[in-house]
Amino acid sequence: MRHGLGSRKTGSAVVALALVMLMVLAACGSSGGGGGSTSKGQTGAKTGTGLDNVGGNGIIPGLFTETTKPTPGGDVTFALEAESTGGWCLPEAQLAISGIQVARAIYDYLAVPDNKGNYVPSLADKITSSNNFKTWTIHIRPGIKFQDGSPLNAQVVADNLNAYRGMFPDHTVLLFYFVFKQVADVKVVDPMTVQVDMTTPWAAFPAHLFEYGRLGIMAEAQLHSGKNCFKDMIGTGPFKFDGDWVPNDHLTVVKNPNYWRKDSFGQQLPYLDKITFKPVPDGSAMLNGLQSKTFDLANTDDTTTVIPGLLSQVPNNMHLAVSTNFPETGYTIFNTQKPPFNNILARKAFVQAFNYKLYSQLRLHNLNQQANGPFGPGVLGYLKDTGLPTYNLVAAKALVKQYEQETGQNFAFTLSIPNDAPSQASAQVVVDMMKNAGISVSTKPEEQSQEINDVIKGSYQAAAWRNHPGFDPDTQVIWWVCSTAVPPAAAPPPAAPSTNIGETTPDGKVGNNCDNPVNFTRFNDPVINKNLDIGRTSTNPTVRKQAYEAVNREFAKQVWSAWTNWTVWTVPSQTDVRGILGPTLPTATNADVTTDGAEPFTGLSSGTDVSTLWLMH
Amino acid sequence: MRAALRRVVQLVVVLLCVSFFSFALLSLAPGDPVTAIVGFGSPAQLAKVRHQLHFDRPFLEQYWSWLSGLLHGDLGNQYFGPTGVQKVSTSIGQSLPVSLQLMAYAMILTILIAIPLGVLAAYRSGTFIDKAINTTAFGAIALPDFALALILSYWVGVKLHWLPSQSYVHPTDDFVQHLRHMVLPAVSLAVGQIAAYMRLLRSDMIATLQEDFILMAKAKGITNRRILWRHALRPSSLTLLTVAGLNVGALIGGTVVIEVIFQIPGMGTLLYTAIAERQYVMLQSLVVVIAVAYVLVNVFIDILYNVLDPRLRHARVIT
Repeated sequence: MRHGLGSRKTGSAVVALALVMLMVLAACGSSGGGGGSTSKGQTGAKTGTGLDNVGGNGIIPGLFTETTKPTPGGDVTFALEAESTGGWCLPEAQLAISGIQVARAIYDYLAVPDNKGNYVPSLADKITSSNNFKTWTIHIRPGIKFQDGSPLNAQVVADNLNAYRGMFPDHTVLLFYFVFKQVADVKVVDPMTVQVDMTTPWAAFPAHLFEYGRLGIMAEAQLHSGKNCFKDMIGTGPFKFDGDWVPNDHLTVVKNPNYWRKDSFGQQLPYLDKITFKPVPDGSAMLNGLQSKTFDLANTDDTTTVIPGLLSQVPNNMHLAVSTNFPETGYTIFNTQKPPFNNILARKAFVQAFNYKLYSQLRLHNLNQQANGPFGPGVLGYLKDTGLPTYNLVAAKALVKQYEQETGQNFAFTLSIPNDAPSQASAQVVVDMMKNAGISVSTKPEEQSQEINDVIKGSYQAAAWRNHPGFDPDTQVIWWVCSTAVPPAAAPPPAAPSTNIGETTPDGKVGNNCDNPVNFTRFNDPVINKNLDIGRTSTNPTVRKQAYEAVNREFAKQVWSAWTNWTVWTVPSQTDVRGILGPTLPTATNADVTTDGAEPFTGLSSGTDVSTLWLMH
Repeated sequence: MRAALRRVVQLVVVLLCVSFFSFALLSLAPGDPVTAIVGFGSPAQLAKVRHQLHFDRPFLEQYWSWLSGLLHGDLGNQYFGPTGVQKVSTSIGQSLPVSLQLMAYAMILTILIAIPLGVLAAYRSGTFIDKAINTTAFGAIALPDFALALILSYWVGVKLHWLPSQSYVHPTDDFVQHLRHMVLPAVSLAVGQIAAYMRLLRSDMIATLQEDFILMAKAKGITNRRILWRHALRPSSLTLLTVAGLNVGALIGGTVVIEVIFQIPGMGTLLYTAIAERQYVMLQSLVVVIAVAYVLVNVFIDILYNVLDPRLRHARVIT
């Protein structure tokens, strides 16, 4: 039996309500209304976050299939939350959402997620596996050309996949080395077919052909452009880069007139002539730019400044596409190789001292849902109750006392945070909460990339963190999996004294000796390792669901991280901007937008397909 | 000729000192610039980039390597990920004209407003007009340019929609839009300068207007306007010029903040992001470019002294 990609279209495994797209209604005029009125409890609640309290009538006009024939032409300015300082040589790039958004304008992917979180072919027209999932065959969709006129064929796809796994000359691959460690070989079978061989079964491989928008397919010319690869962007996507990139100011892409897709009216995509992407890291500047109509649309999860600032203007002066499903998770990441968080008592004390209700009220305008694990609503493995300890100051104080008695140490630690003002204000709230429980916290504000580097190097005790966008949980494996055996408790490794790391599980002892350098928490948990492996190798939706739920519960049991909130990704836009979410997905036989193609993925945590953006005049 | 040569030698020494001390300071800055470039890199990858950046060499060797590159017109490289490289001069070439435009607009505004106001305040010294101008000037000096920038951006840009609240348009793309986008940043930078220049000119003018040659001009029946603009303004401008030269530093500092607030892709923004991204080579080169600009502006002002007051050309001989 061969397993085609379509066989995993099992909507039942995923929560059906994938997205709440609220056209958030301003309440009654300027006085009481808008986002400021979240406490008024208007009708239309759908998600359990503060956003539903301001009401909503569902779908943004033009979000899915257009009923109005879009008018081609025009250009927009698209504000992003950051610059991609490493550029877009994709195998080497470390793209966050802003970089992914630009990449999605220029590049296409072999497979893309649909609105149920399943992966369907895109540049590929068929992706199949052997019975044991150790061999995958990718059939390339014919007739597609790159923006430089070169053809998309098996050779360029194989070269791309080799570049991503660090097997292509002159490319210093970074994170993707760990992602594709399991790939043994990539072969060209015929001009339009590529075969990928694995060292071990990998049923969830197609999810990694999107890799939350990071795995675009580049032309040979870009792959071979050496030190200019970061800026010589050539893909098959709806827009092409015309060389106009001033880092930290703007990057412009123009219409690719030969794009391979059309809309349901038979019109050539994309509609827009030009998009100017503008990195705007400062929340106030983004808010001002949207309010003054300097920006046509933006991508933001900023519930401290931007989103609350816009709510009162929706829908008359501003539209707001909101995604509370398939979210990223905001949390405090612990280093379990260092005291105090090598001790489960300390980790439990932290989460029980953290009053989310108060935090949400003070810092998040009650717009985010409290997180209880790495998998948010809509994601496979999501649980309403994971068993994570909740706020209980009395219990927290008792745990602090117990920790101090057991270790003979004061419970004190340093919290690494980004050095922007909102992060520092949020950290101050956490510091005060910990102080109430008898925990002494000092903060270490640093530039965001430096904070990330400290976490990578393990030079931290706890850090404010955001990760795990809501795609297939198998795409998160690199952050958690370990293959190192846990050493016997009697003989801990000298470099990592591992006292009281966690609670012993039926599958064995947990440890903190992970051999995976991108498992930043450094935990080594046999329950998580085993279930991640089950999720990777099985195609049975029920088995996968159970495996990831077990992972979720184990995270809660061992308190490997202090989950705070799920992000609310939004696309605020001026009222004339339409087609935010992208077209219906192509089918195996038809590249055009047709009614039989799956609807696009509704999460916004890795940007949107910009090919259907248009301006209503 | 000899004086010019001496000036050049002074210039070189100043620039050497500036570059050496800024290089030394940057080497003491916290954080590893290599891990900022190759976050997830293996030790071998980190070592490779460290070698390319010469960070594996002793401090003096690093400095010499950078300096000799500079003397050959090479400002070094900016890194985009582990293999992406672009000349620092390319980035400076993009951003320097933008900052110069902003500073030029601010200076033009300053001169156009400060000089007439200064002359008027001196001419009407002690009157209500003088007091009103002075009081306003005090307020303007007290208001930091970044605060004014935020206020203007919010009220004029966001609330009233009169002018763009941020962003930059290249003059060749759309000159009218370019000017519209530059109004608020230029005003934010200029207001403090206008107040300072106006007050300086006012006091110098008041002193000049007490001079005998002014009395003589009045006795000859020359009109007040001619006396003010032709006879009194020129000798009153020397202090103004000195301050203008020294103020270039403040102007550059202000530009950094104003460019960041208004999202203008000039040298200020480049400097800010170079610090944030730990692009030390870029930062070092920017410091030197700014130092050179500062020194050259002050040399130019020295030359202007001689044009404005011919007595200075012979001052050394007379003394």
